[in-house]
Amino acid sequence: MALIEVAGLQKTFEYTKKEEGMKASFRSLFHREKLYKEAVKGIDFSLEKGEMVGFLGPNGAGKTTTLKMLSGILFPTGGQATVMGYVPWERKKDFKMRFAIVMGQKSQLWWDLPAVESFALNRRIYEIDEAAYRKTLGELTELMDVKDLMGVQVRRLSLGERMKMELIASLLHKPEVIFLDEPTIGLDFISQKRIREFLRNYNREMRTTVLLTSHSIGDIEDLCRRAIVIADGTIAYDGELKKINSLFGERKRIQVTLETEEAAQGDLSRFGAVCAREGLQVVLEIPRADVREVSQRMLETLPVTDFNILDIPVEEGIARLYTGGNGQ
Amino acid sequence: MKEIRKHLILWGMLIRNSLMSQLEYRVNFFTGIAMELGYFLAKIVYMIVIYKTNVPINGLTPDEVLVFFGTYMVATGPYAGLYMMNLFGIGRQVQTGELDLLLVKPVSLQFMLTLKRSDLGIFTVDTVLGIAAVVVGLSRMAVSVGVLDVLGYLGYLATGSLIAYSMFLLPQVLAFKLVKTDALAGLVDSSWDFNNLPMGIYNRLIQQIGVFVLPIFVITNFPALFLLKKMDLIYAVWGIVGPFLWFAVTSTLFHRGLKHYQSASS
Amino acid sequence: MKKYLYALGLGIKETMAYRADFWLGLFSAVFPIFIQIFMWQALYGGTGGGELFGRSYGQMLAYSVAAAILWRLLKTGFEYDINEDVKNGGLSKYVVRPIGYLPYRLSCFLGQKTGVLAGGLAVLALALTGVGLNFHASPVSARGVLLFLPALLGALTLNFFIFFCVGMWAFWLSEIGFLFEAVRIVIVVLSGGIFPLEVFGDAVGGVLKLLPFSYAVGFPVDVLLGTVTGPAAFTGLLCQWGWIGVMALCCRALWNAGAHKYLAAGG
Repeated sequence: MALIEVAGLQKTFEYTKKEEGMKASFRSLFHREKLYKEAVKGIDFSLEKGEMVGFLGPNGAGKTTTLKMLSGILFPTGGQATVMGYVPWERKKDFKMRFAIVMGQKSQLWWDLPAVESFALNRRIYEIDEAAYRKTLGELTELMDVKDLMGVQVRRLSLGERMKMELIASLLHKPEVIFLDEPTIGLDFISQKRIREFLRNYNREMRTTVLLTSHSIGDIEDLCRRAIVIADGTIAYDGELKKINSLFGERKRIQVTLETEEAAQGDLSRFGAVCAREGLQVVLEIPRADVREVSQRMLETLPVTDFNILDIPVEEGIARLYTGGNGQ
Repeated sequence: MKEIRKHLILWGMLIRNSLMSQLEYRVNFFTGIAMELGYFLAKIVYMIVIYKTNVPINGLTPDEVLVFFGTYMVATGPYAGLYMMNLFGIGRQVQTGELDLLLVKPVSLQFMLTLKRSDLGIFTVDTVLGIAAVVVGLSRMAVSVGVLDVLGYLGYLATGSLIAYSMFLLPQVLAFKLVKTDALAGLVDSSWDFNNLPMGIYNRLIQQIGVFVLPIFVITNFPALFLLKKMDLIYAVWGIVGPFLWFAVTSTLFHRGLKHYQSASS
Repeated sequence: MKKYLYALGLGIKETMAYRADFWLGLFSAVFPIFIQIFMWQALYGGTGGGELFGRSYGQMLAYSVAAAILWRLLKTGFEYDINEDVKNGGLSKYVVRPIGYLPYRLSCFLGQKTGVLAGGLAVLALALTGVGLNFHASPVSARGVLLFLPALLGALTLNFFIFFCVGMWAFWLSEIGFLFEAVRIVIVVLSGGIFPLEVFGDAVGGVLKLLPFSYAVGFPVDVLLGTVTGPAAFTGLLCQWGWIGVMALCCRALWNAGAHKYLAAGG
């Protein structure tokens, strides 16, 4: 059995429509129209032990809701899921002792105290014995390079440092499964890289299973071989990240710089679909199979000064999945 | 049991953490104590009136009333210092998502949600002033008090706090249904001051309601009645049974409310 | 003048939020009044219908009710706004412009109060009618009401100046914490807001009556209920306005010293 198995997971919740204006506010005192939102519409996937998978999707797609169901915070409206053999929403103590969740926007650390006090609290909560705690803490602080920040109040740490402390707090009990919700959000570039590096190494060494959501493609590209793209409550793609583009019929892009404005503004549809034009530069999209033939024709007939063959960026591939497209 | 021991140790750590956090803000810490002293003045004026008029209330002499008043102050210590602010903050913890982070941890959620923060400054001020008032009252009556009396007194104080905790938890269950409970909080908090004076000032009907239906009087009157050896048997029993009953009922409703949150929110 | 009317208007606008707070605060008065009614019943019961602290049972209840409503009507909050202005530099625009800060604050304060005054006085009238019906005797006389109006105006102004002075402390305290609240609750007690000052006895009560605070709550209530009448009432009004003058001077002195410090610190 896979470590994490999700089958037909559904989450629908009711909310009330909020209308504008004073009259509507008064009306809502007596009668509220109940609407239903299907946040997650029956998804299936599974993770094996040691996998690090990226969970991608636009806002409101159902990523965080899914993560909350897998960590037992929410009850699903339908379907099943097991994590390490446990049903998460039964919230069994043994289950809670073996996983961790870190939510990018929320902190479990005491704001006015040094992080180490929050760590000590977690040690008690997760019943970690003293020696193991010291060893793990030492290793983690070494890896994250925060040894000299241990005595500094959390409120005085930078966002990147705080995130490192959050991660340490969550890893003290050596969880087998980690859910990360937007771990690098709001961080500067260097901090993002450091955190990614840490996660990559940690996953490799400890064989911890990681499911991480992110808006940042960089996170996913850097860390995950496999991506699950969720859009509008359903899974649009589940597979290798780099193969996303193959969904779109194996296309490539040619970026040419031409000699004259006239040439750049002209009709180039005989070569391929023009997707961008700027000054002397034009970008065309063509089927992969035609690359050689089209390139030859362009080089022969157009006043080319620069020529590049490009992949379709992963972002665009993913964005197309978001909008439900599956090709052109 | 191991779990109880774990939670007790955790409670100690939480109190310590709260105190350390508070001491980061010294002005707030000291002015908070000043404020509590101000409120003490507003409460002890009642005792000034009682002493100046020197009229017995329902058979209680002013000195005896002072013992009731002191007990009220002592009970306010745990209320204002240990659990009240957490109870009124449940709504906020639900809205900010702090609740979610607590839900996933292998500790009792009710424990973390209701006992996380404390104010040792307020706790100390109230309990010290309260104990002083009780001692003054007792010594003026030239009453001697044995170890068993003190133990029983502390016992009824503890069960009184338990029933208070349960009663004040009840309205907060609404927070799980995503109802804003802050307006309610101010009103509910004001009801605490019903115990400024012994329940003897009220008529029989109000006393019975306040003991058996909405047991606000149990919190401070019972320990005082016990200490002054004026406790009826039925009160003596209810003072032990009632709190555990109330705790069981409100805790159940709490967990029901939580289930509603887990089903209804996103 | 126009700018103060504008500030008055601002004050009226903010009354929506203020109003909710006010009515909630008024409603919370029910609890202590409840306790006091029973306490006095027990105490007067013991004296067999005599007088305590110079008042009959009915008069004492009338006082309790009127004082509780009055101090809630007078309650300020702008001292926190003053603190904000000092700490966030919002004061700068008042220190240099010809809009006097105190008149500005007074306009806001009066603006807020106009929103609740009618309602508050209606509740007061209702409550006193209730007491009167219970005792088959009106706790107020026409003369009392007539004298109450200037006393009320005086009380509002006096309370404003007292708490403006409290707000001035923001210049010297780096943080106020809960100090303002501690001071407020003590002032409520010293004003006779919970019990008439006679309960403190002749000596202490006498001293407290000389302080400005009693002229904010105790005096106006006594005038309304006829406990203070005739020449005593007029002398009282004079004292009240005398204290208003003194507090106004304190405000000015504190403001000058504070603004000086504020500017010296770079504002």
